[in-house]
Amino acid sequence: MENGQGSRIPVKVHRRVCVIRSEDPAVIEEILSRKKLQNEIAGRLTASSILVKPGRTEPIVAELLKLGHTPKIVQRPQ
Amino acid sequence: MSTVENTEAVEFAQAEPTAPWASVIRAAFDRYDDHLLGEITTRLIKPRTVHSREELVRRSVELFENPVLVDRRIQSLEKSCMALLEVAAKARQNRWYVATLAEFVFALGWQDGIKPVVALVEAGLAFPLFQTKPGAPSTGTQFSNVMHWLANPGPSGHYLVFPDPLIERMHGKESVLPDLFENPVAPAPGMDGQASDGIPALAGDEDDASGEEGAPGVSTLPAFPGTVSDGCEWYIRMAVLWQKTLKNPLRRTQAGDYFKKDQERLEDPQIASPVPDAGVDLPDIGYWLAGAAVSAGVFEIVDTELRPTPFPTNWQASLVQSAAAVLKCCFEPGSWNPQDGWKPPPPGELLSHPFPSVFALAWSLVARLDPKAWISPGVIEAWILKRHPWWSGSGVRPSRKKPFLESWLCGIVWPLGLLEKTKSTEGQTLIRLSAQGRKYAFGEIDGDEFRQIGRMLIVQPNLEVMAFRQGLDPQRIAKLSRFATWKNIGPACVLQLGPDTVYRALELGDTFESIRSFLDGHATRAVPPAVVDQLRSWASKHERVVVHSSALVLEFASAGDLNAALSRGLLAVRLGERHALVDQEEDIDFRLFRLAGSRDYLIPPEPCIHQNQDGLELSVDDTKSDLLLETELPLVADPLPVPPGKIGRSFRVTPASLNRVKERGWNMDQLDQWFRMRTGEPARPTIRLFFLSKVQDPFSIEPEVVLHAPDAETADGLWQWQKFRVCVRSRLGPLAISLKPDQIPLAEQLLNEIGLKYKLQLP
Repeated sequence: MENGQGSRIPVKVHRRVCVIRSEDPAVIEEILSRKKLQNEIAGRLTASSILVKPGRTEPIVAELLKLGHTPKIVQRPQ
Repeated sequence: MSTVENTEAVEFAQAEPTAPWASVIRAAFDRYDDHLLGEITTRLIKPRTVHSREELVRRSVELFENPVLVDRRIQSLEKSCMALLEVAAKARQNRWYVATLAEFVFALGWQDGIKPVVALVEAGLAFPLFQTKPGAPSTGTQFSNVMHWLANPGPSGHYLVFPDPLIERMHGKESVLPDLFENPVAPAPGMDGQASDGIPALAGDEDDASGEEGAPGVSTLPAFPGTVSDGCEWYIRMAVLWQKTLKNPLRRTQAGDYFKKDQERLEDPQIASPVPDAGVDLPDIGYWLAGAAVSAGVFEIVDTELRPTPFPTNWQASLVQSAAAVLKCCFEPGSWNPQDGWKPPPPGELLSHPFPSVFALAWSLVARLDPKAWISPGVIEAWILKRHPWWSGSGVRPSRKKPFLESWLCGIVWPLGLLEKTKSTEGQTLIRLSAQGRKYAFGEIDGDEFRQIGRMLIVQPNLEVMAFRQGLDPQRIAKLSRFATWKNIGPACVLQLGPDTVYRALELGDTFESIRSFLDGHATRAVPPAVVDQLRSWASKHERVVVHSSALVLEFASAGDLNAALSRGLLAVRLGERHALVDQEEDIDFRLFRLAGSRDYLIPPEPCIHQNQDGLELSVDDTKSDLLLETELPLVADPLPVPPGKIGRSFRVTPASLNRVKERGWNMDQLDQWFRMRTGEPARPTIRLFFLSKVQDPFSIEPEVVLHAPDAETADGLWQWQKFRVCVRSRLGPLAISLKPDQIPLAEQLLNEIGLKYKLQLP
């Protein structure tokens, strides 16, 4: 462990980020390869998550529905 | 503040009421000046000692929690005030437009319609409605008396609110409203100019008096047994409208009317067809339904849109509360009435029509009758119109005299299950309160009044659900509407299950288990296994992809740091080696962390990249960078190894990296925009050169014969000389001219001609 039990861990906080998450890598690949979503997606953040451009959730959800997915949408109170 | 010695002062509870009515009282008291507040609270709570303004307000609000004191305040009221409260209680509404109250006071025979309204406000039993945001300080005019408010009501309008406990206490009190059976021929005091504060007139003129029990149209001998509606019609139609507008909410124009396509939706037969068995045909019923849905909380108004909400909580409470929410729109000024249908007022004009007061009075008079007696709606209508100020006088147009009360009672109220109706031997419609209607009007405990028939569904293998109406109630209609689409409405309604409807339910908070248990618990036979499997499959897909529309992501310097944070109790979902997602920022104990940077993604990014001189080498300022950069930068540039002893990341833009950018579909403008956003400067020429190299004409490299003139004037002269121009290939600069190799002899000849000396240096 790089940080001792008493030291404070450096962290960067990213607020109000739009993220798509799936444990299934095939789903992530399917979304990334969707041409219609190229303008909405910023890129792959990790193996199981995709970063979406700010405020572009609605077209993403609409397209996911078209693809046959039923995404769970998690919204935090503003 | 004033002090009044009184024996009624009681100990007040410490916990303050938090109901909406309590907020209305506090907001109203905020707008009273000290004098008015003192006068009203003196009458209301009769304080023994001097209290602060805040204490007076607190005690006044808490008084309504004390039934004994509320009863005493009611008993001290004049009959006209009690009549107002009784009508409000029978209608189960606590918010009223002042003109509506004044109209039915006048119709009941008191000459001054506004006096009891003012008296109730001055007694602290009615409160002007001031719409303020919860918790926000009150702003606006301070009122010194009630007439001051009546003259300047502000944007909230002339609305009064009666505290709910006051309305509740009116139930069970002896009625001060007229009984159309008991005294059908008394003249109408007040209408003939006499001052009156007694029970007003009850029926029409003496020559109207006929019929078995005295009043015309009043009968206890119906020709057929009474029919009561199942009470579900409006809830089902609202559910249909809710489903039809989920994706595209209804929109109104600035003038208050609906747009053409929404008018068509409101005229859809599933919503606007006549109610079966009601016996009346109401105009523009779809428009009324939209207004009722707003009152019932099925829609909320946002700007000019009627946006569907999750089904309101009062649909989960009781039939009476659900019905009160639906009927609320009938007791307030609106754009619909049973005579004209949908009729929004011209722009700039206020909604003003007399129907709310007629409806409230009519309902109260029906409720006043003997429970076993029947009455014709026409009798009540005639009685009211004879006394109502809107119809009094000789200038009323004939179109205004068209009967409408039967349409409202049978077309709107009867489908809610609040009335029983039948026909007399003469074919006249007769009505009386149903058992449910009596609960509505008399405030009886209604805790467990939802349907007792538990099993009313048949789930078919083709994913259709048949719902039998005798087992439906608002609660079940709301639940069904979330996960199935209404296809047919009839004695047995048909709903359709589908992936989109199940997804909708999941988004509204249902789960596969809750849907299944509802179907299992209400189906008359076992739910087909294929349907259960299909539901499970759709529901499981819901968890496969999660979209966080506004997440909080923590970025750690290393995987070890993330592990350390998780081991110290951080509640987060691990996204990768260094990233974790947190649902609630409040759950983070920031004492464990040192903030290395913070970024809000709804705010435009600030420059976080430094460029070197040629713009090809990019150094990242990690304190300002964001996650978007992490996905963009590997596209635009290649990472450089970090030299030993140096901190920070660097990248290099190469033709290969820019090819990746082009393959991603970016053009030069987008790349330039990216550089401006991330570096604060436009893309450097080198970047442009690399990016545009493939789309320009090909380069050529070749020997050149250049004439260097001694000065610009000489070069200009040669450039403009037509004969010499034949030898010129191009102008390279102010002093330099490129010559065609094959024309050099001619050039020499021409230079010699004009006497210019030169030195020829050819390889």
